[in-house]
Amino acid sequence: MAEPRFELLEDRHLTGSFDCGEPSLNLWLSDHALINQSRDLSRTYVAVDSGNGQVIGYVALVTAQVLVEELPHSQARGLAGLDAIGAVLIARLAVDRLLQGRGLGAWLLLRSLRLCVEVADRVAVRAVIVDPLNKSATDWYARYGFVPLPGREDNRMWLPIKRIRASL
Amino acid sequence: MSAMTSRKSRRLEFRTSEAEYDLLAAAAAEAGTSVSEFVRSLVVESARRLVEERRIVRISSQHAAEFYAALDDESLVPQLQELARQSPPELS
Repeated sequence: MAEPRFELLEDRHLTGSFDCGEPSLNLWLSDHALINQSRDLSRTYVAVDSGNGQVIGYVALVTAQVLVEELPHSQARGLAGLDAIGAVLIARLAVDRLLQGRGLGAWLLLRSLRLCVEVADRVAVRAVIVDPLNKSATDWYARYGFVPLPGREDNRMWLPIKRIRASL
Repeated sequence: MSAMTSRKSRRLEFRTSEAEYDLLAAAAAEAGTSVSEFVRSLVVESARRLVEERRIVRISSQHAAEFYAALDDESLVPQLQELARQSPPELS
């Protein structure tokens, strides 16, 4: 019995048999994750089974921005009446079908959020945003305290870094 | 557009009018490349821009005050505290 390893995706990682049940997430890991990483477009962290070296889960992190429209009287503050807030977007998070239901997704989320706090300690990042694919993913993030962004009707949810930092 | 799967790469096919095809062929020749490479590179670039839009979230001025208040909220998230206490998953 061993804890999975949490590692930055590299060429050597065995991703070929990864199947989370969602073809778009499988394809992204097998075909796009490393390329995006080499272009500094995203960072993918994988959960590796230390027994057989297989990748059993992954999470992809990118930078994001929250653009807040300022009220007319405060427009002098920001560029073009917009205030830009730095954020990390958890763009994708997936767990292999064979290991779902064991808390591996929650563990990937925890490790990612700790990483977000480390990043925020060094570079100005004030929020973590998630982009759930569907209703069950929305419910899953809500279980860990993520809430919809104010006034938005899409799926995206968030937590401020201050609350994450205070809680972990 | 229809997509057919091969082993390592995927094949995309789509229909276009003669006039559009002639235009694409002329533009590809201008760019010194094949029609398929010309179309592929432009489509991929547009798709990338679309995906990057996901990285921008807009909050309207009506919700700005609510958003800023939440941004400075330092209250604990009980569910995350619980998550941080859990032991890592065990793999068999």
